[in-house]
Amino acid sequence: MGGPIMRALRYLATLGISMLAVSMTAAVAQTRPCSSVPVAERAAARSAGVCRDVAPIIDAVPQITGASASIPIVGVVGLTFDDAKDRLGRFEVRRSYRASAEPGGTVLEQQPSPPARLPAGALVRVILSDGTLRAPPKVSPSEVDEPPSARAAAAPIQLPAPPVINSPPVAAAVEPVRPSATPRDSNVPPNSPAPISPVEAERFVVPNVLGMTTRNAQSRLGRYTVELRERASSAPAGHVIDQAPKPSTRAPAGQAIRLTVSSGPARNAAAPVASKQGTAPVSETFELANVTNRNTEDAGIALAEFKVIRVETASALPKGQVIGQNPAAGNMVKPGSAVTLQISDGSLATPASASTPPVAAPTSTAPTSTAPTSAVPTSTASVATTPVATAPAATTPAATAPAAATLDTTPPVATTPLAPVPPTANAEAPVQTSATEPTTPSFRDFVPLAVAALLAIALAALLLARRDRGRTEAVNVEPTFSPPTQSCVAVPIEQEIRFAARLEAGDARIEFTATSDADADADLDNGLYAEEATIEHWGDRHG
Amino acid sequence: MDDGIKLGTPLAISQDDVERALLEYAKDEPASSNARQSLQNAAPAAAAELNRALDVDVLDTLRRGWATVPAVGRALQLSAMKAAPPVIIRLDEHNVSATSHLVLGIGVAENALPELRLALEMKVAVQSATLAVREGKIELVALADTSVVARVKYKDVLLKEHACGINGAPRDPFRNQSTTTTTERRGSVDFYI
Repeated sequence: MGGPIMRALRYLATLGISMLAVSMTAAVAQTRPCSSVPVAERAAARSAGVCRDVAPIIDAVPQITGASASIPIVGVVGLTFDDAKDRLGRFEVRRSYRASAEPGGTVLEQQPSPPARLPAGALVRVILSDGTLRAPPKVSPSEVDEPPSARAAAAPIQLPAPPVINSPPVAAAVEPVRPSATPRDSNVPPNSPAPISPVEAERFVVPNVLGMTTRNAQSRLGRYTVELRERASSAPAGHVIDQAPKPSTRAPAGQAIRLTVSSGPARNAAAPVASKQGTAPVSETFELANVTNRNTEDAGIALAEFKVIRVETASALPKGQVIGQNPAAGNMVKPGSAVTLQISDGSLATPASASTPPVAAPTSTAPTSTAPTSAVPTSTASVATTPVATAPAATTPAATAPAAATLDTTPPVATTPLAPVPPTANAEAPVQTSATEPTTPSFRDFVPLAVAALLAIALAALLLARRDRGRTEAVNVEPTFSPPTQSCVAVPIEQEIRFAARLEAGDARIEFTATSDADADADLDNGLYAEEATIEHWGDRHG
Repeated sequence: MDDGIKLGTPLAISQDDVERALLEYAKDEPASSNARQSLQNAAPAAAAELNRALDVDVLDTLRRGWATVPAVGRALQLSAMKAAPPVIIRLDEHNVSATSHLVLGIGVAENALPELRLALEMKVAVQSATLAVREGKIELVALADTSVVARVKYKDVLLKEHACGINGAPRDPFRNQSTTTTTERRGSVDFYI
């Protein structure tokens, strides 16, 4: 039975891969490589999606010539791991990390490298950057705050010469200053355009690094430029006590993230020492990020400094999506405090909503990234599908106001613990939610149904219990109508007994006591029976 | 005398007498064994019923004995055939022995158990008695000292025994004539006089 099914699945998988490859090929064929575009027009062409930076993935088309046929290896250096894994779909991809200034997750090296050929299923190892090595920011904060559109309209940035990436890093302090996102692929032709600059990159969700150690925070903020400040605090020294931009906002890769690190308890607790930059002292408590409608993984990242308790709840929302949090977003909570997340288990999802594919919402920075992301699925595209991922970054001047307004208008749910927030209540991503809202029933829609079902069950139980009770009473009454027993053996103890007495006369005898013989003889002479009876008439006595 | 001396007076049947009789009765009648407990519980009712049957004049028993005397018998026949003045008969000292049966019918539900038959034995010692016979009936005119011994038995088991004396018999034999002739009782004793 398993044989035909497995064959069918294998056939379907092969068919799907073929169709995917054909579609990708067609998409790539519609665009020309940016290397063919003049340098002066390259940025505008790239923004308009006329050209693409990634080499065509013609080699990724599976060549089904047999199990033992070798397949050429595709170069994936400079790509993210997900992209590399997609390209090396015919192989088994394993990854390892190396300290690098490249954005975390970027492929630094691959083994074997092109133009080697391997049979399908062979092992291909990729070395990824862990992003721990960080260089001073290349882009000043003032430049970062400019809207991307303005930056895109400016003159294209001349990228420096690509450094040698295969050389092991010496130390963070001696790491040369270079752009944070400069993927270099050995397969890319020398005349190919430079990869996307930080300014042109998509906006990413700024992870929450509050409470983390400096090293972990830097690792987490691999794609950003980290600025460290110290401030006296009762928090453990070396732990991040503040970050700007705030967590869960969006910022382009390479943007400076200012981290305030605790330098330990101050000597004078009453007057906390200000930071070196003179900023205001920060409380030990952190503001809880709003993780509602985010998936569990993102929520865990955003609440890394807290103790996250996940409670699964039946809901129509996709499985793993946060539908409520306690304490509510915006509350000031000490690091390490318990934060309960209400996670949807997706059990109430309707088939239609469950089968609805995630729709990537257009973002405000789409002009710089529509072309590459449409052809090659990247991790950023998947991030964009999250409800809150499409919110504009708070650090950009053009987007600060709506973002702030959105955060401020989020209804506080502190008074109602674990109050589920439906997707419609999330005003942060109006464009993204508009596509999925109508097909995804909210948790509240099922509450009346659940209550009605419970009431129906309780009513049915009551009716059954009453019916059983009536049966018992009827059984107790039944013996009254049973026919009386005719057997004398089973006579009840208190049965009716009737008596009827009468006196029946029996024999009677009379014996006279013997008298004198003279009297007896006289009676005999008179013809009487005996002398005991003396007979006289009434008239004789009464005259 | 008719007003005061009844068989039930000297022979009042008690609950204990009945229970003892029923105990013996159950031995002889297996059919009643199933209702033995019920019968025992109904002993007071049975005793009351027996005492009601004993509401009979003691003289009725004596009359049965007196009627066996030939002179009394002929007088009864003659008086019954023609209207004539009553015949006065004086009986000297004699003893009358009479045996009767006190029968108790028992019904359990709709079933009837065998009757419980008690023997009533009476021995009356009469010093002298004067009788008046008229219209086929015996009337007592005078009764000298009389002693009565009564026994109630269930087979060989003596249930009750009573002895008493009767004195002061009425002198006018016809004073209570009407009452004698009109007496009707449910458990009346059959006298064929």
